Amino acid sequence: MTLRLAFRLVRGGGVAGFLRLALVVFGIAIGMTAGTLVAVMPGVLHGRAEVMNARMPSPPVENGHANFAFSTSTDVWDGQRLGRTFLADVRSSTVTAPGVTRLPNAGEVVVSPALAARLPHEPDLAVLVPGRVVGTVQPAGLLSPDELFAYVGVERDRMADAHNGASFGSRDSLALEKQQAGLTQSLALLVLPPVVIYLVVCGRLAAATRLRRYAALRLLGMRRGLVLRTAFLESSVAGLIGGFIGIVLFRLAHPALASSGLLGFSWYPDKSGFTPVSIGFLTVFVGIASGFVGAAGLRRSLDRPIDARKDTSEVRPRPWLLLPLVFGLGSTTYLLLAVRRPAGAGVHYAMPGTMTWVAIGSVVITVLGVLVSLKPILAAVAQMMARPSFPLPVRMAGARLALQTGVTLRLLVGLALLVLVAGVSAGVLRDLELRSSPSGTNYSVDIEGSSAPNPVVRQEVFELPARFRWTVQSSVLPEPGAVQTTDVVEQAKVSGYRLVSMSCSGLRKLFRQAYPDCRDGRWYRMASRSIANTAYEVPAGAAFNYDRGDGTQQSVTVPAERLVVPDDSPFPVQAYGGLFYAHEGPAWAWTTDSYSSFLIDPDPAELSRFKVRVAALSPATQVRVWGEDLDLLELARNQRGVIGFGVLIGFLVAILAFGIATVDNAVERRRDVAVLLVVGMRKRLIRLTQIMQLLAALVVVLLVAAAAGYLAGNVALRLNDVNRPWYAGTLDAMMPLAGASVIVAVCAGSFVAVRRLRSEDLKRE
Amino acid sequence: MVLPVVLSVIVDRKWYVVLSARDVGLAYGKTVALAGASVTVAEGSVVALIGASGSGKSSLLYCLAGLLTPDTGEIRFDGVLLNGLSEDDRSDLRRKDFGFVFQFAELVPELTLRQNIALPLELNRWRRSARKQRVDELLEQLDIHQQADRRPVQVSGGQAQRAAVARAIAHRPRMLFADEPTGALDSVNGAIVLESLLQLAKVNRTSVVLVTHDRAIARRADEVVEMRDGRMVGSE
Repeated sequence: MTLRLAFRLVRGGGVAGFLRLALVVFGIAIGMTAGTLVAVMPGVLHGRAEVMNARMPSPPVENGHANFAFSTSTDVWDGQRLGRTFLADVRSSTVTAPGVTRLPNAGEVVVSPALAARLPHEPDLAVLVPGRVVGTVQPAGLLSPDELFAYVGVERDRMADAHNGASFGSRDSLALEKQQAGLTQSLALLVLPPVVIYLVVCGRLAAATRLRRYAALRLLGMRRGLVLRTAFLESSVAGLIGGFIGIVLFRLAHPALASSGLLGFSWYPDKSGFTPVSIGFLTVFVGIASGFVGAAGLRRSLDRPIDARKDTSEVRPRPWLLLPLVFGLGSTTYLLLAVRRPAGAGVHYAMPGTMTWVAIGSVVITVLGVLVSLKPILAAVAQMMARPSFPLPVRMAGARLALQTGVTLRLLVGLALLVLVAGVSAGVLRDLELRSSPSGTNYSVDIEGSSAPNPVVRQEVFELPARFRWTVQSSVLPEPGAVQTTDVVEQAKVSGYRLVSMSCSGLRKLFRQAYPDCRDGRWYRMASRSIANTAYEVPAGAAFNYDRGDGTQQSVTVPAERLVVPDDSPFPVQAYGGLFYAHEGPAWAWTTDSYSSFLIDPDPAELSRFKVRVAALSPATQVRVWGEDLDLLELARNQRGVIGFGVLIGFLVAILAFGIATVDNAVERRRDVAVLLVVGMRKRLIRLTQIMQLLAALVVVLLVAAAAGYLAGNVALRLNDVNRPWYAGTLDAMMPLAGASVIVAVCAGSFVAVRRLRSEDLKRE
Repeated sequence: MVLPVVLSVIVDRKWYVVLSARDVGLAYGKTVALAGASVTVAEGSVVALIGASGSGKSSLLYCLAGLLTPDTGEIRFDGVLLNGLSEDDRSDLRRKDFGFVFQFAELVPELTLRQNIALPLELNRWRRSARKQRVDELLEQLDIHQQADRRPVQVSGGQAQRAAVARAIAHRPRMLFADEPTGALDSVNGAIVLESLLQLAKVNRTSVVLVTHDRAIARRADEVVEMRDGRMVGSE
């Protein structure tokens, strides 16, 4: 009975009724597609983390025998993660890694398909993955189709710092999943609020007409429950159809989306763990939710059906709703202007713990403040526009806006949220970027002695072209359990007293100072400016032992002659000072406890060339770039992709909701527009009025959200370093959204429902 | 006896046909609304169109007002063929020379009664002071000055309809079209609205075309045209 009535109501709605149904179905389908993307994300990330663990070599159990030796390396190639697992002495043909049928022997490589496709065309990349390709890694062993990953077989003696491995598969916690857990939250935060708003907007299209229709049924004597069930069924059927179409759309788009890398990473769609059961569950959920949304707005029709057939005015918003925004903006501005690095603190000074919580609280209050204050702000703007001194279209737009503040705001709140989130995200991303990438005028690179297979290779590596190079060796450390002491010499012995070797000419060029006393082949003590001649500096006469590389130790007495270097020098002499031996290369020999340091031009291509040159000499040697945090860099890349994609999808959904609701509103106002046409108002003027109404609301909402987003984004940026300059990128991120919203507002506002006056526009039912 | 009548006709220009329709035909799909309807309206006169529901009287009214374009026939206002005018020209005509009253007030919901009445004056670019004076005058005459700053939803149906009459007549149009102006009101309010409408039209020398199915109302007109099936079937 109710179902039949629901269908009859849809059919009775004529073209407008079917149009509404089509919009609802379409809206729910798009919302469902976007929502499903968020729903599959945990499965996708879990799948990636499982693969990561499965291909991790694991050491033999106690007294067990090793099947191979390995070392792992993670690098960045062309902005993409390049993973390499070096293998040597593979003794068992039965042990394999996931997705691999046979582990490579020395001179062989097994690579991912994406890497295989690039190797023939990129000789530099081939240097990093040396060997004959004997197989490809299958999806079971890869995170994504475009992943650059290889198992590289090498001779044991070419692989320093190797570990023994028995099999593959780590039982460690899913570190990658933990690291990427924030991605799902980011995506959900960006996509779901606009989707929910969108679904509510779609579910309540033609709300006024529906209210009147159901009020009429109630007046006819139909029981409350029956009306409610009819409305529920009408909306839930649309929800089920829309949900089904949405799932189909998602299934069609998923493979392309998974391989596109739009989210900053790609994945195998069949590893998302999205089963038919979850599909069915989601569809039914959307159907039921749509039913509730459709029935939820009917309370007034059911309880006061006569009132429902009249237009009513909105309650004037309370001015105190502005308080959270004022408080939020005030506190964020205070944090940005007043919190500074105290004298004597390090170059990078993170906000103190309490202040961090204040900052987070301020950002949260600002976001909430924006949401609750928009209504009074909008109402005030509308009243101002309606003043008699303004031209007619502005006044009419103001009057309409004042009458529909709540409705207009519901359309725009999704956009406001997105602009806010885009602003905060831009600050967070900038912070990640600054923390994950090297800063300064050069790349500072270290190569550990233990990472190169032998002294010959170390010498060859040391001679590679670089702007500056030096070596650092630590004094021999005492046995563990040494007595704690306050004596600076003893402390230096426990920590290791550093010996830096570099030619005098290199030293002069590096610091652009004369150092007239520096002579090659002589020993000096070295201190940074702030500790020279202080109690923190190890005094002359103290003696430290160093490994000579031939099994013997050399005692060196700290000389009186001192070279002072700047506080921000790349030499590790900021604590206790150190020894300086004016010589190109190590003092005695290439020992495993020493490392070579290089300064390279601040050009990523130059850094890549350096890495390739090192790999050409010794593929398994690790190159450590100071300030380069590959995990953080990867996370930043993923976050950028997820946030960018989330904002895009969220924006599309929000703007679609805005456009659809605007057109729906125009259709519902058809009769008012007809009256205006009858009294001789031209369509141009009606359009102008509609556009002004939308633009005024949009501009107010975007301005408030952008200002709050800008401040909140800068607070997020300064959490890890209070001295960072103001960052305008937060505004840049919002500009495209604001521009596109304005275009949509102008287009949607230009829609005049009455193209040509018709008899039914002038008569009531 | 004859002379005063002749004189009044000459002074009121009631001999001058301001609006005429000839052989007007209109169909909505397969439904014929008008089938060769003809009518003339003399300046300052009141013409009532009566007939049963579906007889075509409202359709004829909308055609006469330039709101609908007839499929056949011609409609002239002041000698100008309405059928030949562009949408913008017809808008201008409605703005300057026509006024409308519908069965329901059809005021703009976001504007107050005062603003609604001032709307045609603003569209016709009346100066603010003149506008205010005219609106105050009408509010007073129609006894809705106390509700002037309320929105349509905040006043009674009769008050809203009086505001609609004021809006229709505010810019002193030459033609006033009224579609069942009292149809949604009780007899007391209906009488007030009708009286106001006719009185104001007379003061402003406005011709009136009135659609009604109430013969008592029709009797207040100078001419009554009866319609059936989209045709004129009688005139008195």
